[in-house]
Amino acid sequence: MLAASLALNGLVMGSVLLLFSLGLTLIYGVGRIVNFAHGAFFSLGAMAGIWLANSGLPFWAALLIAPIGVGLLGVLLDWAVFARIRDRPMVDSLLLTFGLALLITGVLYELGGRNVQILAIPSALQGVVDIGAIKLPMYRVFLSLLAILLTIALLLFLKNSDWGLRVRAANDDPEMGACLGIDRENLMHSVVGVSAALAAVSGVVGAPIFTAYAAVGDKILILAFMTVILGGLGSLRGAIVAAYVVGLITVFGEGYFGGQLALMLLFVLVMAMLINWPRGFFGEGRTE
Amino acid sequence: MILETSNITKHFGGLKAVSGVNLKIAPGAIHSIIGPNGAGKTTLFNLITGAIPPAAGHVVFDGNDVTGWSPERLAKVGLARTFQRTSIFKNLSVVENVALAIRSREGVSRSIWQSTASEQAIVSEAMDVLGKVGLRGRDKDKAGALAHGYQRALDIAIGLALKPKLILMDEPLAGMSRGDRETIAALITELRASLGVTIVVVEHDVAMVMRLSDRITVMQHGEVIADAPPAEIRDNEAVRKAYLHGSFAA
Amino acid sequence: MSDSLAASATLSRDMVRTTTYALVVVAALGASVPLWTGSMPFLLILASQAVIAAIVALSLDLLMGSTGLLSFGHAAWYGFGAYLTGLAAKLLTPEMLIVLPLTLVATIVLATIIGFVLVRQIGKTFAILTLALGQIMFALVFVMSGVTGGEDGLQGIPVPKAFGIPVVRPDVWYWILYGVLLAAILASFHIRRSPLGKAWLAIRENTERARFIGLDTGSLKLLSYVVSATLAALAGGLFALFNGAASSDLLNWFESGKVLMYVVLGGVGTIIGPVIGAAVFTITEHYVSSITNSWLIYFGGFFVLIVIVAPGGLFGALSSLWSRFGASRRGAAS
Repeated sequence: MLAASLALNGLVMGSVLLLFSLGLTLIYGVGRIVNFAHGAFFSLGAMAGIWLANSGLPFWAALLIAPIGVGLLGVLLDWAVFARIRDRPMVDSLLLTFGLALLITGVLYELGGRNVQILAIPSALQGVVDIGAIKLPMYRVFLSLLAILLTIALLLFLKNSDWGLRVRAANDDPEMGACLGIDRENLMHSVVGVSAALAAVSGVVGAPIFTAYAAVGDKILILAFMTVILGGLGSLRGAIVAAYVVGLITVFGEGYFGGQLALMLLFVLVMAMLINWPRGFFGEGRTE
Repeated sequence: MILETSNITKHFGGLKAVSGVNLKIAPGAIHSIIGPNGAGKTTLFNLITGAIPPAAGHVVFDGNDVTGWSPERLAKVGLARTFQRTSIFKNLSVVENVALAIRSREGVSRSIWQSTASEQAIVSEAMDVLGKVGLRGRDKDKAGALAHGYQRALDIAIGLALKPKLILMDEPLAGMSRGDRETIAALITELRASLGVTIVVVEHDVAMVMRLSDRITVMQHGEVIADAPPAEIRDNEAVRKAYLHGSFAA
Repeated sequence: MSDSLAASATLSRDMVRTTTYALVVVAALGASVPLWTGSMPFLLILASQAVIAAIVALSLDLLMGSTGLLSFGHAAWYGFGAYLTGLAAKLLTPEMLIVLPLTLVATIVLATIIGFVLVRQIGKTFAILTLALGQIMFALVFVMSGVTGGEDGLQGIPVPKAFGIPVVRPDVWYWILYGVLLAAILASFHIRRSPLGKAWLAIRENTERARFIGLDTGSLKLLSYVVSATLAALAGGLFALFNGAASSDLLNWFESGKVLMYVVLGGVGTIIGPVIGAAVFTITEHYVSSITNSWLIYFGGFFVLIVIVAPGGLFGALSSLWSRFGASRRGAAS
């Protein structure tokens, strides 16, 4: 019974992780940037949810406003900061996003992020759902469905829209993208914006469960990194499968061994996998 | 034969980059591989030098089956290469670029103690190699600051410093001025004469290849369509056809 | 490449000259500290912390500056060394000439195993995994909280001994730490000039070419990773003994960020630059954080700024200033 309940919670965790990791994969695919500040966007989303709720807005409004705000911040950051190092070696982008993560975390500490706060679950989503003999809080069901719906929406958008076409072209080959006459600057602005917004959505919807404080995004960032490595850096379908694998491992590990040990087990698993399959589940991770 | 590939094959997705190629290189030869863009020449190079593993087939170098060997292992048994995009150590001095290769060949790259005498011996050997490619006076310059033609020459010098039995040159004349092309071509002939090293060249400049080579292999769509001395290649019907819409009218 | 972080170590003569002057100044300044802090023991302790930071910075530069591998979790090895040394001192013997070598051996073994997988990854995966490694070591402290003290930190590390004599006096501590730093700096310069150091530079410059001249890049990278981790662990061990306690903060990713900052600030690959960066940064951090709570904001903001405007680090900027100055002087003379 415990196992079944853990499995369900693993799927919930996997869904959140998926939503969060998609932004990481997207920004990597188009800009070849490994964004260490992605976790800070998650924290920012969670904290923004708290601020908006404290100012009297309902949960739903917070869920809409926070990602838009963080997304715009992402666009601004790309325009003001990332654009300055576009043609520099990979090293610089890693350092830059790392510094940015420190900066955002520092700002959040000053804005009330030292204390752990919990976002209240809206009354409509309270209660428990019976799935067979297992009880799962209604909110977790909502969380998973939202994450899955957003993921599907994003994938459809990537597949069918003009924007999606450009993203995929740039993802396959940045130089090719340039040949097709894609305005790389604007595309990157939008990709960073969407990516930041996705992180913020995960942050807000996660805030009733994972709580909200300045460094709440640290742990999920590590899990998301494990996800993208397992799935293969830059591989979308790899990330989808890996998110659930990591979600299940994390939740089962926590259930049986405790959270910290679960993290260590995950790391050992990832390291072991890299020895034989350095390019992820589908062997399509990038190696440049 | 110093180098022989048998039925070597590599596919990328559905594309047959190299398909069942049998290449025979005679020791001491200047052997060129030509073919239209996308014929699989560079892939063949990468298969021979261990940059990518073949899907099928074998590579025999100097009597050893070296299929699947890593580039570093191949370098140690005397197979060197230069690159289509010049590949040097740009922020190091010119002489250091060559000295690195010499130390690697001597197996001392891992030592943290080195006598002044042995370092001097390495530097003086490096200077000799630089002399062979006309870079003697530029030894202290930063490699990245050299003009394009000199960088290409340095790339070759690094390969030569390994005292290879065979050196593969990937488009040594590409992107160079007419004068530079003549210089490098002269250098290739001169190296074979003075060092007796076998040279395999992938090249687009067919006129130059005809002049330079002892033997020419022509590739198209990943397969060998002709393999003969230059005079015969010139009159080969299949080659003419392959190049009819190609980049040259030799 | 020349204006990027990846290439700040050039072999120009001006760089060599700047390095020599900087080394002399650092050595002299460092040696004089106990003379003028006699009446202010607090300053001596701050200086000791700066020296430890400098050793960690040097350890990271041995990796980043040599083979170009970027570690975002170097605190893992620093913290590992601190906890292991502290535990060994508590449980085995306070003799530092036993516990420190013990720590080094353990680090070499563990870093070789982990490094074996890490160095085979491409740059980005390597960077991500090093960050994760930092978090894993952090988690380990809590998994083993029975031994490590978990949240409370490792307390009650005994006063260490050297050759059986207790080491208590701040000035004696300072000399020990300073001695280790100087030895590490000299060793780093020696290695940089040796065939090994040059082979490492070749990997950083152009890994593909390095392979094709027969360099076994995998094992050379592993060697630099292990050397780097071991020196970081030594710094951590010294810190634990000096401080008498270790806490999980040592393994926080902010700590890894600080170490990176020392190196970036000072100039990747310049050896002496990161040492100066560490000292300047540690002392600044102390004073700034005594005025304001929002140190992290300044830290992060400054980090971003440095990467954008001065990717060669302050030392790199200094060197180019120096060479410009040199050029104008030469111009005037002719």
